Amino acid sequence: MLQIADLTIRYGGITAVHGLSVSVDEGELVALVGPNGAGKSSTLAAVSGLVTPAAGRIVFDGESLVGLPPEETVRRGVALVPEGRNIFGSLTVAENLALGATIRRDRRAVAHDVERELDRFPILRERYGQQAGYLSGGEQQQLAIARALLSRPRLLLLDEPSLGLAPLLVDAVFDTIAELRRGGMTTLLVEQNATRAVALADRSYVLRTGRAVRSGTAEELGGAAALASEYLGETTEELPA
Amino acid sequence: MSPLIQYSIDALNLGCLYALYALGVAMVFGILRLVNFAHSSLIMIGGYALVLTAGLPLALRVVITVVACVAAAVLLELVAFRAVRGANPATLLVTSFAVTIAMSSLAEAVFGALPAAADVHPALRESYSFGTVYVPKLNIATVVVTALLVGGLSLFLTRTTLGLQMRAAAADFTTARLMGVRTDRVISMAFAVSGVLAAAAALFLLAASGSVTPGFGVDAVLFGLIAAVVGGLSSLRGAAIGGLVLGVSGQLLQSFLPVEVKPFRDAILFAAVAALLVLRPQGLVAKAEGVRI
Amino acid sequence: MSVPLVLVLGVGAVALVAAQGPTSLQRTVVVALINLVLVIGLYVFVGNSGVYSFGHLGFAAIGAYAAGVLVMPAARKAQLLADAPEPIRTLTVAPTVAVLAGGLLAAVVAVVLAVPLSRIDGLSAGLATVSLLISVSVVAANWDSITRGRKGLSAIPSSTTLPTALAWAAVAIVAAWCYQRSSFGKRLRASKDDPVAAASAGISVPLQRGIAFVISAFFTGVGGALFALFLGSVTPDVFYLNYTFLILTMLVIGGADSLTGAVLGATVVSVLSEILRRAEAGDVLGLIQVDPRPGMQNVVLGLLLVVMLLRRPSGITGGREIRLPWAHRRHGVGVASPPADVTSGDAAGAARP
Repeated sequence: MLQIADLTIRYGGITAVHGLSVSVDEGELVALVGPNGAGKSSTLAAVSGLVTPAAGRIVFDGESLVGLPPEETVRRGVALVPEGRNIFGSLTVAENLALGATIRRDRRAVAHDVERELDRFPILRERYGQQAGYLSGGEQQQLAIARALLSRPRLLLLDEPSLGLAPLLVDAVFDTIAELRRGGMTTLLVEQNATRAVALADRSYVLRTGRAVRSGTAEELGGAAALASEYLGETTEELPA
Repeated sequence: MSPLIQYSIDALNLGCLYALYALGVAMVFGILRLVNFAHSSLIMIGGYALVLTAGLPLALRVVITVVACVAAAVLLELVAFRAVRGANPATLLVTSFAVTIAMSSLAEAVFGALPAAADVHPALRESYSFGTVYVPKLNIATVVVTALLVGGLSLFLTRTTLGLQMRAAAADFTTARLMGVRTDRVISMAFAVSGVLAAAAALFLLAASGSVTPGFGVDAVLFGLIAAVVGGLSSLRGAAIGGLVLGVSGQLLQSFLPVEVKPFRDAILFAAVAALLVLRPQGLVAKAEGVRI
Repeated sequence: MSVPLVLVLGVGAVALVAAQGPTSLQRTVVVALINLVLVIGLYVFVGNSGVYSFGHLGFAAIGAYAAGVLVMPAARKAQLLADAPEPIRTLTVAPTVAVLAGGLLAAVVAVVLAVPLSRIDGLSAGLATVSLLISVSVVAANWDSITRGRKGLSAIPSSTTLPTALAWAAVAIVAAWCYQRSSFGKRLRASKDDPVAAASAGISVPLQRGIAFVISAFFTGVGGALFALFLGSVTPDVFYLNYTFLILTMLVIGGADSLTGAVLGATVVSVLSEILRRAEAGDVLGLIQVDPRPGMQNVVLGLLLVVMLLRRPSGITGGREIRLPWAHRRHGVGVASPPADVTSGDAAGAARP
């Protein structure tokens, strides 16, 4: 469904991604793991159109996404939940959700989908009329995921969804991801929490300095725990803002 | 009726004018982070539109002026600011200077440097008198129209889809785009709204001064900028309140300062602003958004 | 010290060559040198702090009026400024002292202003300085006993010549360089790149900004004083928006992050606008004949500048100091400021609309 081939991303003189190739099949949950600066987030940014790659192809459903701005990729069915969640803190929860459905015209179906998200995340129903800035970190993450789902994406990009959350909330986030996967949502997940991401994903890519060094299922990678120990120390560092 | 009423209406009048200027600047700044000095060009265009249509019925002149200002605003964005969109702040700045100077030079070439006189409506020169108290009709018109515009703007921003998208874009443009908010559309709309505000400003400025020059609107925008800073630069509410406070204080100084220092009103006003900044550095309206440095 | 030396020699060479031309061109060179002093004055604050100030020319107006009043002979003051208070009416000083006094008065005003400005964030502070511009102009237009109000000061003995203007330009260049290489300048530059990190490293950003603001105001005041002592008159509307635009544009075009950029920008814009002025008057070195069209010079200049900036968003120099072929690279002369916006700027450029 998504094929990334020979992707190269540069910021000025710095190359963040070197000829990376990744593919995601329909209904698959694929994880990108690796230390800071491995180019994981840059890859998602390129797919969603936030950065223009220096070279390489990004094909989604047979159509190239390269050069499309984010407001167009979301119309093609790609939704990004950005790192740090980026909810609109000055707007209400309801308004945040309404913005998630910006590209849709079917008001009744949107209303129905909003109900579904409020069922999925009951706390958002309680906080529906409140400013989203007052939500806790875990609630903001729920809002960000619900908001992205309201565009009815065919590909969901999750950038560090568990970052900065308390352990219990991390569990909740991974539960949500698992549930989405059971519902057939095609997902590309970027995670610093390599153990859990690899264990949950159908396949994973291990990135290091902008290159995929290994890829495969959890067993092929020698077990999620073994993989994580490779990166112990590196994966728990604070990420740059 | 006490003179107090007169003072309050006069003060409210100037407050509303400054709020109009500040809102016009803040509208564009909120979305593009562009300090749009060229807002003065829009006011100038509105002024000349009113001069050129002198003799037509007022309603028609207002419509033509609004259309001219909105068209000019959208066109300026398209021709000048779109090319530099995403450039660094200094480039945006120089572009906005260049546009301002180019437009006033153009006006000078077309209309000459001398003031072009026109009346908005004879009734606006009259006053209601209550005993010894005179309240100019123009001041009442300014207050009422500004209140309507601000009310309409806030309804537009809170009740419509496009309004919501504009607020989202002002808060975090990148994330708004991820939601599918179309960049060109919200930016054009922000300029269009600033055009409407400029048209209103032109109307009241001309009604008060009676003539237009190529530099029409420049001082208005400078005061609008300062008002926006006083209120807190990145929120529309802040800009409106900043304008109101700056204008009301300015008019009160005008009314109560001794005659010999009256000419120095603006300098005194800004000294007070400086003092206010020492006491309330975040502006009058504390930001609801995350802190930016 | 080689960078300022090269800049001074370069400016001196251009000025002296141009001064061989007709008298009108000589006058233009003096104005260009005064503008250079104003640009460097502005650069000391903007270039080192990263904060754009829109009201700086208010300092130039202060310097201009102060110097103008001070150099005027007592006899003339008795006629023109009969209502001025005693010491001002009778005191007359040498031009150099007057220029220094103009700069110092501007610096004193800057010290007072720095207190409220340090309380708000950079962009707001830069905009708030517009109130200085308006205030100075309002005071100048109404303080009849000292400034003669709207009539302005006239009959100021002219003393700014090519050598004086060149000397002050050289002083400004060297001083700006010394400041930016001092520990104060370095601390402020660090805060420009990352205010949070700088603050956590113990740098007081408001204090460092304030220091730059005051030095910068001094040279802007000096520039204004030189201007008054060149033209022989000052009016309240000289140092206003158009002049502000011109000076800011000169700085941005050259590249606001480096002293080389400030000097180069002032030079390039001066030369361009002189060519355009002559074109407007109808001849470019006798080659092209154009219909005289007042005002079009500004339009063309504006367009040219925007196009240049689109091609080189960080100005002509891209924020770097001039590179000297004979300088030993390991000492880092000439790499005073790496182009900080290359990485962050590109990423932001891609993310922002």
